Amino acid sequence: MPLGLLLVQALNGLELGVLLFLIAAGLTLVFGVMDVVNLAHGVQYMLGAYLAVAAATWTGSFWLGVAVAALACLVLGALLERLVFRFLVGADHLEQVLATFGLILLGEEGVKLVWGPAPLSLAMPAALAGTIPLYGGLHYPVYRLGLLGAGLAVAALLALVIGRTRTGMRLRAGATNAAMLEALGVNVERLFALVLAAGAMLAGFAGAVAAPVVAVDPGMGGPVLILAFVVIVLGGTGSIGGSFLAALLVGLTDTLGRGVLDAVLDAVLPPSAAHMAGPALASMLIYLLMAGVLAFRPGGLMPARSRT
Amino acid sequence: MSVLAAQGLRKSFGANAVTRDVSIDLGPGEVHALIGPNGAGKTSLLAQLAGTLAPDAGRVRLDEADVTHLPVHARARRGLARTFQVSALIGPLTALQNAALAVQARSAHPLSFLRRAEGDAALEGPAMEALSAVGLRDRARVSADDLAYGERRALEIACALAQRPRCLLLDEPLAGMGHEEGRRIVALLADLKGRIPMLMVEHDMDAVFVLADRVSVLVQGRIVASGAPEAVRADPAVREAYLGAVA
Amino acid sequence: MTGVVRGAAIVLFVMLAAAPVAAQLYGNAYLLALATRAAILALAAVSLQGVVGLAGLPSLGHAAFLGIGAYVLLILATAGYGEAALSLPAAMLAAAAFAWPTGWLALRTRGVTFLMITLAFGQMAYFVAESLAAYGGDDGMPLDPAPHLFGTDLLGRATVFHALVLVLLALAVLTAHGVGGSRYGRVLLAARASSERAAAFGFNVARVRLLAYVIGGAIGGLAGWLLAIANGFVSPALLDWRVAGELLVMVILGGVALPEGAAVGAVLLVVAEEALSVATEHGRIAIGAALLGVALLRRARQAA
Repeated sequence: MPLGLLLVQALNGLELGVLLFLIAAGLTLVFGVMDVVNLAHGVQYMLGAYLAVAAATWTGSFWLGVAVAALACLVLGALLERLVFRFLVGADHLEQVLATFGLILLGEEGVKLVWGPAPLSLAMPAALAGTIPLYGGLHYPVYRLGLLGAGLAVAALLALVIGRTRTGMRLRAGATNAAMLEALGVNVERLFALVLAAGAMLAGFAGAVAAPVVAVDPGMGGPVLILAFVVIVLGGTGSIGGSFLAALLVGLTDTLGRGVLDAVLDAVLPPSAAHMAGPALASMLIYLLMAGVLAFRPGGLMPARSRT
Repeated sequence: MSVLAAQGLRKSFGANAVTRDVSIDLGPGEVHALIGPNGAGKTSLLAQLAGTLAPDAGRVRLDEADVTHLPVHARARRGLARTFQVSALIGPLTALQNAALAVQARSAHPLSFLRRAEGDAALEGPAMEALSAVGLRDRARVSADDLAYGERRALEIACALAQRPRCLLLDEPLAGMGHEEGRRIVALLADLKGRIPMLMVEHDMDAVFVLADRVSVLVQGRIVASGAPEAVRADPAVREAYLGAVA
Repeated sequence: MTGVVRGAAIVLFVMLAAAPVAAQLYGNAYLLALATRAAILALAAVSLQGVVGLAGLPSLGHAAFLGIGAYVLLILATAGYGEAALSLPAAMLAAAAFAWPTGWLALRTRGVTFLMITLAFGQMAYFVAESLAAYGGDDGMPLDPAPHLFGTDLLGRATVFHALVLVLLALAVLTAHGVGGSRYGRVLLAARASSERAAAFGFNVARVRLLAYVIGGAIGGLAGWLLAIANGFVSPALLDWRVAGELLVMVILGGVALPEGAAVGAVLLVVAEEALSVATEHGRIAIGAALLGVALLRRARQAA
């Protein structure tokens, strides 16, 4: 496979990985610290995208749109914690599945109600609209590079907060043993609200910045949710570092892996067989990756939890 | 000819060696107590004997058959019964139903779809006998969750008995017991002494010296002394290891 | 609570049984079709309840078994083997055959990880179905001709088919209860409470659970076979993870512990979706709110 194409695929993979990390971070913390399965996290991502489109259209500025969306998602996360999630703490996981599935329906249908079912689009900011030349005569969109950069920056910031601040320390402690945290006198309620709000903001931010390059429609949260769950299970639930590693792996496998697989199949199989088996196998790659890793390390790549 | 024997067991978690070349055995009809300070590796050793932990090296034999690579349930079917330090009983089921399950496991049709589990005399008869042996006959219809702590410990032993085991592994049977309750359990075990060989991990020294025919001392993963209780008690190495914890 | 669920189950079953009459009375064949679909999905939900409730395994990959059942029927019918007495066992066997190795692998994990592994396998089956170009690929294919039963076209008759589905549904619920009260069921219960203790008694917990998973899968295959006939159409959409999610929600809605609860959850959800879609385009908001409400209410009652 030509090196230029490989590079483009790799960049796409990293970009997907970084986005997935932003989404998965909130999900893994909510599960790790609060022991809550939040199926509605994909809706959070979707809302970020929709709010960004709405705010950008209203204010005329892409950047304001993203900022408003992120802030709105932060507030929404805090609200959801007050109204729903604090009652789900300690409940059976299946009951949490029921509740958050209900939230998915509410979110997706609510969005359809307000904006209609047709996909929306958001124009890239003019400053980032071009492409830059890459290797071998290929060009890569500046915006996507910006996305990758922004995602990495946020990831680094998150790592700093988790690793260096007192709150971060409490989060890490909570992810391994939440009961102990409460026994030590930490205001667990406030911590939970923070986790949910921050997670929502991250997912919403991811949705907002992804909006110019993906299809913004009511169902966009679904596939993303699955990928996010694959990431957190692969990385080890509750582990931020694990999620980062897993997210990059999943992103690269899904993009680069597809390209490599196509090339391999084309070389090895007759064209009709390759054409039939190719897309199916390519879609399966990340699941094979997850199943493969879990077969040897059921706790994921970097298990954080001490219970279960 | 020992009923249960382990040879050269080794186990490490990363750099931490918890079992260092341990050989231990249990003869017919004897009570063998395993004592040692906290962190000595008693739980890990018991786990390797029971089958919940795979040793890095060494062998475990049950009645001369090598069971080192057999999973827990296979060892149980060959006659190895155990009690748990933290009571593991089936909460929603009654004491009788718990014991009956042990009987069911060794019955001719343990997984039958057609036979009802409830009210089966073939299961509940022997189960009731086991309950009587530990003094829980009157509490047979009480669910395990509702039993008092001491009763749950007794039920653990009853369930093990209901398995009609070749030998019994007891993981701190007196853990968390008050003085009076503890005496009941000790009396119970004294009653079983000689009938079923028992390997017992225990902290309670009074109980150990009443019940045990043989005592082995585990310190930092190694057996430092093994022999008759009085000899072990007098052993200076043991005293040193315990830093005066021995009575 | 059990009494309420049981009562609701009986009431709904009677209503389903009365559907052919209602359809006749109102001259609306659609009512019967809806009732049949609800009953089939109830059967699917009951099969999942065995896995989730009895064996304690939260599976998000159950749609795969339905899909396999449907596709086996399609493949056999297209190849000229229209005999139901052949395709039905084949469908169930194929589903069981898929359940065995995937279940074995999945059972090495627990909880959310198990959920994700079953989802992964479900997705794999979905992608394979999508790639079957000979059977319509993405779009799927009509089931043509409909299967015959011992040479008769009984299965093509809506009322007869409906009766068959109801009989199977009732059998499934009764069997689930029978298994639950059997020695085997007692072992599953024990394994749910403490798999360590169950193993220490001498039960091979993994094998016991795998059996439950495979049986659940086989009956899921049966449901898929029925659904293919009812719809007259087979497409990969049946294996979509959202279908698996809805099935799981049906089981949870009914209260995971009772087979008839799963059936009630299924019928309520199917009928609610249909009824609301007639009234408004956005009926799912009401359903979402209802699901959320039920979960929170049950939580409040539990915490009280």
